[in-house]
Amino acid sequence: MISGNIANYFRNIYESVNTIATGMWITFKTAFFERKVTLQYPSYDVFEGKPKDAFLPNGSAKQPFELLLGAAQNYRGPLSRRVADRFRGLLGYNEPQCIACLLCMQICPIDVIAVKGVRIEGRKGKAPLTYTIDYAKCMFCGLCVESCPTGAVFFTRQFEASTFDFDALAKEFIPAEVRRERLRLSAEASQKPEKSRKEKKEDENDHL
Amino acid sequence: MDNLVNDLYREFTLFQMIGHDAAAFVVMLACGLAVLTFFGFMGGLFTFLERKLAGWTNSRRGPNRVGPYGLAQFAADGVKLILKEDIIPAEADRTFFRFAPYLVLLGTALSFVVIPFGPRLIISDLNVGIFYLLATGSFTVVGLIMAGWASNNKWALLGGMRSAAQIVSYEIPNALAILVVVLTAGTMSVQGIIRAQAGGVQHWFLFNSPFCILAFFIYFTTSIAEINRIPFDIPEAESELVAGYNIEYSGMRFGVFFVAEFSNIYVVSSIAVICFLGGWQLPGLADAEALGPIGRKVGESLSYPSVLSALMIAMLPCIWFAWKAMRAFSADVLRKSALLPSRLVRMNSELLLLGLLAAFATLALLLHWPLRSRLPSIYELVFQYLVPFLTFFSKAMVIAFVILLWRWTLPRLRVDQLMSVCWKYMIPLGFVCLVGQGFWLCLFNP
Amino acid sequence: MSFVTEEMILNMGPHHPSTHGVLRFILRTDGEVIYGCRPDVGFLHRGLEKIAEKVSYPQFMPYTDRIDYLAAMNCNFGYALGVERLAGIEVPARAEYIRVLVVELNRIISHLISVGTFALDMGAVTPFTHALREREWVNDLLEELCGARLTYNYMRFGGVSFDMPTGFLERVGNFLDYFEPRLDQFNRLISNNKIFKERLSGVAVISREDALDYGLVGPNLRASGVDWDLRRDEPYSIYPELKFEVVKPPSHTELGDCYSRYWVRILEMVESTRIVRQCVSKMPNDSYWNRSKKKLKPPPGEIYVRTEAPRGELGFYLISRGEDRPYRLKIRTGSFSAMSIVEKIAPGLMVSDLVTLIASLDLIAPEIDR
Repeated sequence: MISGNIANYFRNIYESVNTIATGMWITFKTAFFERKVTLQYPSYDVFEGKPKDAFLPNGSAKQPFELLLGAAQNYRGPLSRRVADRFRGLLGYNEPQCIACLLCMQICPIDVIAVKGVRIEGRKGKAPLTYTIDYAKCMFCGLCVESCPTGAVFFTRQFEASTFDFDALAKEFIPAEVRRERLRLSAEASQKPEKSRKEKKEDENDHL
Repeated sequence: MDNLVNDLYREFTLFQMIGHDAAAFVVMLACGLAVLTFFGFMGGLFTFLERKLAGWTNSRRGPNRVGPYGLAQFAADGVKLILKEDIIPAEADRTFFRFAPYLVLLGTALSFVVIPFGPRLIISDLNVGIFYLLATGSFTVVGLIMAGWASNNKWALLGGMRSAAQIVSYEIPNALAILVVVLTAGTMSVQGIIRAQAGGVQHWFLFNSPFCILAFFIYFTTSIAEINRIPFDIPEAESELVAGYNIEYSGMRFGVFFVAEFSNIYVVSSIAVICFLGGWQLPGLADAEALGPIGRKVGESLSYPSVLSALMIAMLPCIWFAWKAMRAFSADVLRKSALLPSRLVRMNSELLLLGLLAAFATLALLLHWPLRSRLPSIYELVFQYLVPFLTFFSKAMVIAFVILLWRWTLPRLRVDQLMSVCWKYMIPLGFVCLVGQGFWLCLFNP
Repeated sequence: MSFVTEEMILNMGPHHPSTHGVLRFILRTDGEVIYGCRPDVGFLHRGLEKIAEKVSYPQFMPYTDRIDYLAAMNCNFGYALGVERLAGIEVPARAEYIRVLVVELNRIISHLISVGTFALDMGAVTPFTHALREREWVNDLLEELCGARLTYNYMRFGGVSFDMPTGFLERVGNFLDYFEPRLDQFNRLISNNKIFKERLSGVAVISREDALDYGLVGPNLRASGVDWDLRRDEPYSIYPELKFEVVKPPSHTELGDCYSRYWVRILEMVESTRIVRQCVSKMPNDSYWNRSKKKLKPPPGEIYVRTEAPRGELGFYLISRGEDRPYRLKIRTGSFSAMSIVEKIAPGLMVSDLVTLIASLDLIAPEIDR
C-alpha cells in the first residue's frame, strides 16, 4: 500500500533521528560526566592500589579536566584497583620447606619444574639437589602449588617478568655449593651403617 | 588578496622595485604558505582531538603522555610517519600510487582559498565562492580511485570503487542544500552569504525557515558522507576492508591521506558555519560600540606599546618560575628544595606556556617599533581580526565536535543502504527544501 | 550491450580484523555479491585431543580452559562433569552452586564480548569498550576467586579448587546491581539504533530446517526458532532447582536473522543475571571440594557429556581404559557447526553481510580448531 510505504518512509526518518540522538547523548554523557577507568599503570602501583606519584593529592589519578566538570560517581569501578591476593603470578620457591617429593614435577602438564633430591640427615624427607623452574613455559595453572604438601612452591603476585635474556628464564634455585655440600652429606650418610630397626626403636624410647 | 597586494605595493619600496606581478607572486606564496600551515595544523589538531574524544567516549583517557595533556601527540605521530619505511608494492602502478595522495590533499587544500577567517581574512573572495567549494570537493574522488587502483590489491580496489560511488552520489544533495542557502542569500560569494546573515542570531540562515533547518541537516549528513566518516566510511571500513584504499600506504604517504581527511572535517564544518551559522559574526558584538562608552574609551586608549608592555610585565614572574622549573627538571630536586608548593610544581607545562607568551610579547614589542605607523590599531586588530577569527573557529569546532562524536556512536551503513539513503531520502528531501524555500521566500521575504 | 564480467576471488585471510580469530574464507564475488564461500580452518589447531591422550585427567584441566578462552569456566565444567560421571565422584552442594555461579557469570562476559565485537565489526567502537568495561568487573571478581582472569583452571573433580573469599557474594550482588542498568544503556546505545537494525535485520536468515540440518546449537539455534536449551532439556548439576526461562527471539525481529541472534544473546545475559542472583541467595554451607588423595583411575567405559556453553553445546566424549589418562577425548564445540553453515548461507550476501553473519554466529577460532 502506498500509504503504508509513505508512513514507513517517515517512520524511518523519525526513528533514525531518535536513535541517533539517544546514542549521541549516551556517548556525550560517558565522555564528559563519567569517571575514566584507566589505570596509568607504570606510575600506578598495582600491588598497593594507589598511584606512585607522591604529588597527586588524595591518591586519585584524576585529571584536572574531570575535577573541573565534577565527574559524577556513576561508575563505581571494579572492586579494587590492585592485584588480588590469590593472583597467580610467577612461581616462588621456599627452599627450606621443600622435601623433594617430586609431586610438583609429576603433576605439571608441561614439565616446567625439574627436581632431584637426596636423603640427608637432619632434614625431613629429602633435600633438593636441583630445583629448576622454566618460567618460559609456565602457564600459571596452579597444579604444582596445589599439590605441594609443604607449600614450598607458591604463587607470588609478581607478573613483570620481561627480560632480554631468554636463557635466564630457566631459573635454578639451588646454588652449586649447596648442591655439592648435599651430595657430600648424602655420600657420608650412605657410608654409615644402617641402624637396625630394633636399635632405632630404642633410640626413640630413650627420652621416656 | 588583491587589496593586500596593492596596499603592500604602495607602502613598501621593496615591492615597487621588483614589479607588480612579482609582488603579487610573492604575496601569493606567503599567503599560500600561511594557509597550508594552518591546514596542516588543523589536520594535526583534529587527529589529537579525535583520539582524546575517542578515549573519553570509551571511558578511558586519550593520549596523555607525550606533551602536556598529550598535546604533542600529533607532532610525535608526524615524526613517526616520516621516519617509516616507504613501501610500494611490487606490482603496484608506481606513478599513480605516488600521485594519488597529493590529489586528495589538493582537493582539500584548495578549499581554503575561499574560507574566510574574518571580514578581511580571506585569500580571495571569489564571486562564485560556494560553487568553487563544491567543485574542489570533487577532486578527492579522482585521488581515491587512483589510490584504490594503483595499490594492486582487491581490497583497495573495492574501497576505491565504493568511495567513488559514494562521493559522487552525495554531492547532489550537498549541492541542493547549498543551493537553498544561495537562494536565500542571493549571492554565491562567501562573504556575501555571511553578510546576509548580519544582525543577530535570528538572522542566521539556520533559523530562516523550516526548510533551512532541514537543509542544514541534509548538508551536515551529506558532508559527512563526502569526507568518508562513519556512518559513511565504507571506503575505509576498518573492520571489513582493513582500511580500504589506504591498505598499501605506509609512512608519510599515509600521513598525507590522514591529514587530508582530518582537515576535510574542518573544511566541511566551516562551510556549514558560513552557510547556516552566520560565519565569523559574533551576535551582539559587532565592534566596540556594543561595549558601551567605557568600551569606547578603553578601545581608543589602547596602543601597542601599552598592551605589550603590560603583557610583558605581567609575565615576568612566570618566566622566572618556568626557568626555575626547567632547570630543576628532576622532580627530586624540586621536592627537596621546597621552592614551590607541590601543586604548583605539577604545572610545569602551563608555566612554560606563559613564559613563551611573555617572550612573544617582548619580541613583538621590539619588532613592532619600525612598523608602528603601518600596523592596524589595537582596536581594529581585536575586533576585525581576532574576534571574528575566534568566533569562526569556535563555531566550526562545535560542528566538528559533533562530526567526531558521530564516529564513536554509530555503526556504519552498508554500501547499498548508503546509496539508498542518498537517492531515496536525501535527494527528494533536498528538492523539497529547495522548492519550499523558494515558495517561502516569495511569500515572506518579498 | 552485454558486459563480459569475471568473478573475483577474494581472500578474507587469516589476518583480518573481523574474522573472530584466525579464520580464512575464500570468496568468489563479483565485486560485492558473494557467489561462493569456502572456509579454511586449522590455523589455530593445537592438538588438544592428542594432548589429552598423553596427560592424566587432572593435568588436562588447564587445557580445557583454552578450548574456548572467553568462556573457560564452561569448558572446565563440561570436562569435570564428564570425568565425575565416568568415575562416579560425588560433588558437594556448595561446590555445585559455586560452579553454576561462575559458569553463569562467564556466560555473561562471553556474551558481552560477543555483542561488543559484533558492534565493533559494524563500525561502532564505543559499545565494544563499554562491554569490556563491564567485563573488567567480572574479571576482577574471578581473579579474587581463583587467581586468574582468563584461563581459570578452577574446577576439579569433586568440586572447585578454592572457596569463595569473604564478602564475595556481596560483591557479586554489587556487580549485578551495577550491570542491569548498564545493559539497558547498552541497548539504548546500539541495540535499538536504526542503522544497526538496518544492517542486521533480514540478513542471513537461517531457517529452522537448515539450523537443525547443520547441527547449530546454542543461541544460534534458539534464534532460528527451535526451543532447545540443554540446561532445561537435559539438566545437569543444580539447574533443575533454579528458575529460569529459555530465551526466545523477540517478536520485533525476523526469525533466524542476525538481529534475532544478537537479541537472543542480550536476553540470555539478563537470564544469567537472574540465575546468578538465585545462586547467591541459595548458597549452601558445606565443603567446596570432595578431594581424594588417590590417583584418579576411572573404570573402563565411555561417556558423552554435553553442557550449555555460551556458544552452544559443548560436548566431551571420553573413552577410558582404566588408566590414569584418557584413551580418547573428543570435544564437540558449537562454533564448528556454525562454521559449516557459513558456506551454505553466504551465497547471495554482500561482503559486508558476510562480516555480519560471522559475527552473529559468534564463531571463535580456538573452538573450531581445538
